Amino acid sequence: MEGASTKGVLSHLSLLEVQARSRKTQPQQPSRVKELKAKVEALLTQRDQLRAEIETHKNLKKLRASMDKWCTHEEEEEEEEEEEEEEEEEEEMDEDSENSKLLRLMARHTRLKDLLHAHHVIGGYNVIKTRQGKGMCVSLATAYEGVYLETYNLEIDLKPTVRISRHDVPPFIPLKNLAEQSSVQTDIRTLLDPLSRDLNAFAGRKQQLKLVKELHKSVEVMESNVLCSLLVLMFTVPKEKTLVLCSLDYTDRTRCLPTRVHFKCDDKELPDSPEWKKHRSLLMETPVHKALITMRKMGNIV
Amino acid sequence: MMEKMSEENMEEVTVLEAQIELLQAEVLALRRQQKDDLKDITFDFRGQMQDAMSCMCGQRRGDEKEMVLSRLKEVVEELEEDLKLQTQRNGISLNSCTTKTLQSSGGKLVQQLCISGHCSELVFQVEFQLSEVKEGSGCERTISDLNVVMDASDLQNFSSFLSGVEESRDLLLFFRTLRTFSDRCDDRRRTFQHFQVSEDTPAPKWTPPQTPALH
Repeated sequence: MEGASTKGVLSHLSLLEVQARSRKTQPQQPSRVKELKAKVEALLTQRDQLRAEIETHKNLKKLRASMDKWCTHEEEEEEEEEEEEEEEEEEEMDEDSENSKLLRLMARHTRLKDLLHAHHVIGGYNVIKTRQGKGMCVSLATAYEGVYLETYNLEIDLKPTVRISRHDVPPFIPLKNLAEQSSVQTDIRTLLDPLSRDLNAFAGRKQQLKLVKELHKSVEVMESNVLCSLLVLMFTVPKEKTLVLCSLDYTDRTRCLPTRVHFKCDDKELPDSPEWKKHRSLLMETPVHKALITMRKMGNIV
Repeated sequence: MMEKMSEENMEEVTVLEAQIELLQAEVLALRRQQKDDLKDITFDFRGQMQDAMSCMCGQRRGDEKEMVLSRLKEVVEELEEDLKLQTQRNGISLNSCTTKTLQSSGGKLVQQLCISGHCSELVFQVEFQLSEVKEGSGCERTISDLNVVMDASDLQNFSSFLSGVEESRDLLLFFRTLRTFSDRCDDRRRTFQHFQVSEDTPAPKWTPPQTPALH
């Protein structure tokens, strides 16, 4: 009897031993599965993040659209003040109202950024206050025919008196005269507006000269000056190869069009011919690079 | 037993790989949708705005949220001040500016802008395309397809000016002229008011000539 029970116990023990050993050597989940599970987790996080972002964008757009529609700045500020007063009364803010406050601020942020960009794009003066309000920086943008050109800058002292301290306006623009003629002490725009007009007219004339050189290689530029207030061109009449000297005077520096157009030619009758009289009016009323296109189409210049 | 387990593993692997493929496709589609969504409005998600965005997507704790909130409020208030300054100095009040991105590739960005506002009493709305092309160290900006709308009530002489400005795409000239015109209108109004007879002044009465009493 002892033998039988011992055998039973022993064999039971050895069975347990085998099981224990086999559990130890049982392989863990292969690393491949572990790797893939991690990847799935990562992708799930990415997806949820993207979904949350898209939802937030959607809500931001809605909020922003209603702000654009209904709010002027004054109204917006009043609304914000009202909201703040209400919140000061509440001791705790729950997560929902925190989120909605955050969303509102984000929508205001995008709206303000867009409005500031708009001021810049429409040619605003990009005013920056410096030295705790004692100074100011101003930019004057120029553009011609939809192309933005040079920007000029002024550094202005505001105290004790309004005075231009530094600038990069070219010397042939009468900045000092314009300042003297303006009421710059009380309203700086009385200087900036005329200055901007002059700079834009100059930029326009300069750009026209550039376009003449680029688009009309058969027309020779004989003379021009830095202010671009004088332009002398040489035309070649196709058939007879006659040369016509054309001088354009831009004596009104606030304008992009000439005040006087004059033709000179060996053939004394040419300038008074009806075609060339038309050309004179054309050059007085149309930017020169465009006028030349018409003149070439009419077959009067090469 | 080993064979049985590796079979199970292979099944699991296949299931997981399929799940990954689906998720990858989903993420790709969501990314595309996000890109499309962002075309209709310009979001500058840097700095405070980026922090705010993470808060909204549940990535930040409660106490961090409060800090993000107060910092963003500061930034927004600064922007408000800046806008007030530009409005005052430019003499132009803008109500809204909406931006749609039409193209954003390589070094070229094309946007459609619609800006509305008023200059004193004159209300306007301008719409145009703005292209920015990177050229060397700088950037060439061009305007095309300019459309200008003004409250046409007392502006007959403006209409030919407006069509001229649209044709030459001279956005800046439009605003310079608008300001000058508005300044002159304001001057005229002030002068008018200065010389206007006040309401307290009695209106002159016309009394008919006395007919002599008939005796």
